[in-house]
Amino acid sequence: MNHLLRGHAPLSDGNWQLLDDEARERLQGALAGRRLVDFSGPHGWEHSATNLGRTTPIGTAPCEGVAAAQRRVLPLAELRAEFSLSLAELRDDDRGAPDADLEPLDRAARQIAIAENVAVFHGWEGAAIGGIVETSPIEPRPLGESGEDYPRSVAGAVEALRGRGIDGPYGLALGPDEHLHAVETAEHGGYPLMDHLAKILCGGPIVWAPGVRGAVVLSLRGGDFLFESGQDLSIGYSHHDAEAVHLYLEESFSFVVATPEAAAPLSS
Amino acid sequence: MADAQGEEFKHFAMDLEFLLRKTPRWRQIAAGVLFQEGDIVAHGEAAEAESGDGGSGDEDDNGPGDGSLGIGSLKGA
Repeated sequence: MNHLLRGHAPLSDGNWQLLDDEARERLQGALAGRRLVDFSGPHGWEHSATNLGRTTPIGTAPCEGVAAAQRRVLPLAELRAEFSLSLAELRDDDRGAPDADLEPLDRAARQIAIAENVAVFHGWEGAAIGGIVETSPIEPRPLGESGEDYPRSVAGAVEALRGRGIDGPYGLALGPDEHLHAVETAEHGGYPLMDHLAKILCGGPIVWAPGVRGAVVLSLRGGDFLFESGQDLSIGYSHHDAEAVHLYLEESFSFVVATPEAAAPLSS
Repeated sequence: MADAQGEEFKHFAMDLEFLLRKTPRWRQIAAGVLFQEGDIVAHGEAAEAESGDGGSGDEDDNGPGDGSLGIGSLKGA
């Protein structure tokens, strides 16, 4: 048994299968960053830092005649979202109930997905993570008031990237409101906006990104944005009482923007 | 022929990496075996024991499992 202590939880194998499947389904739809950036790992819970390949000079060496420097690394950050589930509901699941109430798990999954997305796209100062939007040197241009404005804005962002020598394919992350506008909009002639945007992006993905403010177009060529996973998202056990079991979703990761100009933000 | 053999080895490595990304427990076992000095069989048995795996790599058969949801990269998904 590892540090997640799952073996101590008063849950059947079937309960764990239910919870893992539910969490996986909820998370896969919401983890927008992982659809667009390079992913490394998982390297395990013991993995503590990302190699930046850089050094900081140390003014004083142990003796004369030598130079000294210290390696710089980016420590991995941990995210944890706690939730509690009714044991009665889980016993009903054991009996074959098809509608166990997993709402607390769903909320926790949404929150930790948003946290990961915000860190990737907008940064996380406390963890020394620079976000894709905040580090981009390209001035954000307005996405537009209505969905019909989106093609011109997205095309402008793609051209801004091409103009800086950033090759495609390109992907588009849209905040929830902006994604809703895009899905609902049919342009003049009834042509679905999403199809038009996909053509502008050379077939690249258009991603629903909860936690993202506005939108961002970025290159998917690789090597520009690196998400490094220590422990990938997992469910662990905290404690339980007579009524409920207290669990958590947890992960450790770092995120590095290697090419800030490989993303063009669009403001809402 | 040597060139074709090298090409197939590359494909084998790509297949292996794909499978390990999809199955965290296999990845854990592989990490204890690949690129390690010493006895290959001993490393394999130790890595399997450390992973808590009975050898199938299927969490369904192993109770609560190691806890990872195995999501990994979603690029291209």
